[in-house]
Amino acid sequence: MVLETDMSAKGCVKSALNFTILAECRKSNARTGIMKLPHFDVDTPVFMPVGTQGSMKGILPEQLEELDYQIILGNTYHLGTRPGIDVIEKAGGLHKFMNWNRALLTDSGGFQMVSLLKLADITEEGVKFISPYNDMSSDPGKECMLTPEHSIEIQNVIGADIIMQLDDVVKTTTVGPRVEEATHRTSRWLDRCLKAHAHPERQNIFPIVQGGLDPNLRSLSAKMHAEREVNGYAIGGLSGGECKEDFWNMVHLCTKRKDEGKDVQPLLPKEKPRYVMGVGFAVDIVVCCALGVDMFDCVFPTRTAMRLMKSIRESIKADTFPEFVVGFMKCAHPSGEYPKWVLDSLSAVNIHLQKEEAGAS
Amino acid sequence: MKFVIDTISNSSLSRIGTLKNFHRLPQISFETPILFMYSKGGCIPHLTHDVLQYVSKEYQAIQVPLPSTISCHHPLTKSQEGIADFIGMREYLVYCSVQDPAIPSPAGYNTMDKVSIWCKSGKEHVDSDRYMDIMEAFKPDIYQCLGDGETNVDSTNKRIQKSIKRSLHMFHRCLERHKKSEALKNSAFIALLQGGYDVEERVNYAKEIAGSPIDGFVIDGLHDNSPGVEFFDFDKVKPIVTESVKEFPEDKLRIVHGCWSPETVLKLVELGIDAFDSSFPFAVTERGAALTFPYKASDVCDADVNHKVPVTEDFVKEEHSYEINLGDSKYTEDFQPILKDCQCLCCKKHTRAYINHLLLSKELLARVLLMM
Ligand SMILES: [Zn+2]
Repeated sequence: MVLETDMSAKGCVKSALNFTILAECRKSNARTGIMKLPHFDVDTPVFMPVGTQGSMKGILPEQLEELDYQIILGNTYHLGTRPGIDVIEKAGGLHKFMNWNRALLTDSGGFQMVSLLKLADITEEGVKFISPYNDMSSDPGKECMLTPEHSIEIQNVIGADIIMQLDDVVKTTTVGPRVEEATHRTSRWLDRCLKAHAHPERQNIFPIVQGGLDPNLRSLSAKMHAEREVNGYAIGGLSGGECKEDFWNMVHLCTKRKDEGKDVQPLLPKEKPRYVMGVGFAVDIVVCCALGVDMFDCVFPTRTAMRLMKSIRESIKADTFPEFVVGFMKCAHPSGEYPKWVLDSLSAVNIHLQKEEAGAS
Repeated sequence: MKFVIDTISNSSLSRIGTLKNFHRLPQISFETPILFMYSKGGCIPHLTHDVLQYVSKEYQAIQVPLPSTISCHHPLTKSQEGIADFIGMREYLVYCSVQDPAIPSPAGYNTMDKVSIWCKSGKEHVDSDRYMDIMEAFKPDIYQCLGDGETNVDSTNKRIQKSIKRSLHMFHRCLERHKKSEALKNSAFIALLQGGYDVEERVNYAKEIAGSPIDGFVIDGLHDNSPGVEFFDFDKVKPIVTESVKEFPEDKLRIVHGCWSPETVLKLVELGIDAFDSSFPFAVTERGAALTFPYKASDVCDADVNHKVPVTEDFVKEEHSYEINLGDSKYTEDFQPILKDCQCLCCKKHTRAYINHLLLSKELLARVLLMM
């Protein structure tokens, strides 16, 4: 009896993320679903506009709701600098501070730091940087350290529904032992982040798959992260000027269900949402959806992008996604000359642009 | 347009009236005293049409100053639509003015029959005929007559004389065109009353035009449209307004423009002025501040007409107690709304701390929220 009570009590604990796949494409890995988060239910595939400093280009939260944005992204580094974590804490979190009642996602702050601050130095401890800001909490020129624990502590205060682990960022095109170091360090940091996490019942840490453009390291990173108890995954380090061939292959590596004709378990489990960071072009989004990605972010939110996501979701539900992709690519490349990477990536998931078109006509 | 006086106060000259019978918007009427919503280039600054709907679903009357819209003339000559359609404000009442009440224009460029209009591309000289051509293309619901209002409290008698002579000349020419105009037959015609700070000249000017078929008048030539108008000495303005108003029939709409402080606006209402513009809240927004007095128009008017509550004196005593500078660091952790119990969207949903953050981060949303 006691055991049973215990069990049911456990069952009552609301998970901070509940992902339900509503429909899958008959050919590709595309899927559409609902990601239930503490603040809002998000329809996937979804695209998350970036509200760097807790607002979006002069648009009111009410308007964002009307535009049907279900989740938006805040930058931890910027928010930590201004208004500062103290203020956000006193406001009761970012949701309350900016009066946004739907879902939020924050990054770890590390990427911004490495890309904005030339002096950032990465050690096993964390990201070391020289504070460029003259605010009350830190003197300009003072050496500071962003550790995995600190990043999570800040993100716990901000209170977003999805938070990102601090990862060891290397330039996408870096090769050699540094990539291997970063891959392993990212996993070690993931464990530190998970350990430091104060609100697992209402916030989800997403690990970030690293590994540069090395298929072995990518697979290794994905496998290591898949073993952790988390509710979703991000694929990182892929928006830094790598060639498209490498880009889609690295995504595909993490999500593919067939390898040389044989059915395999995808490295990133199918039942959990997948987020490719920093991918915002329409063609890239369509390809990634076909590969089985569920979440995207973009600095340039447009009505067009929102419409695109809606069309993708609806076509998967109607089981017409392959046809949608063919039509979309035809519009994007009216000459009919498709880039090789588009043809290759789509045929890897059974959408054969030229053949389908010939079949259709 | 028809202007009807509904109530006149027993204790002051203030009055409540109704503007109605607009040909283009027959179902709409406005209660006076009224604030024309200030616009620039056809937009309410910082507020898109969508956001405007959040501010109020009620119909508004907007002021469309010529300097930021003169470039619309060319495209509109080829079309039948007026300026209201062109700027996407079809459902709003449009009132065209010669100058921008929130932007001072360089003085000294007007001539006998031409007024200089300072637009983006520089200075445009507009004479009565060109002006009336523009108005015929714009087809506003209400519009001002052209005039030289370039006088202020420091103007010499010579400058005042010039302004009077030029403005009268333009008044007669514009009115002549107005009477014959097919395109403007349904537009209300507003005269500009000149005379600087010379009461006698004001009265003479008023007598000169009061008998003409005008729908209302602006007491023009009081200032240079700069934000400094807020600090003007009301005692200097008072005799001008008091004496000018007397000369006109009661049913003429009385307008004063510029970013007067709220207490001056209330005092002008007591002198019987019916219409103003929102350049003051705009100026406050531009300096990153917010107004914190209860602003429901009906409250102020009822109080004013029925039983004279000394609202104005309170304002004067604590100068600027109604304005807070939200960029100040003391608001960084102030999680109150701008104004407690205010029912506007900004106050219902956002805090001083958030707006402070947006201002410091130079986010566009800061000015959107302040302007609302
Ligand atoms: Zn308010």
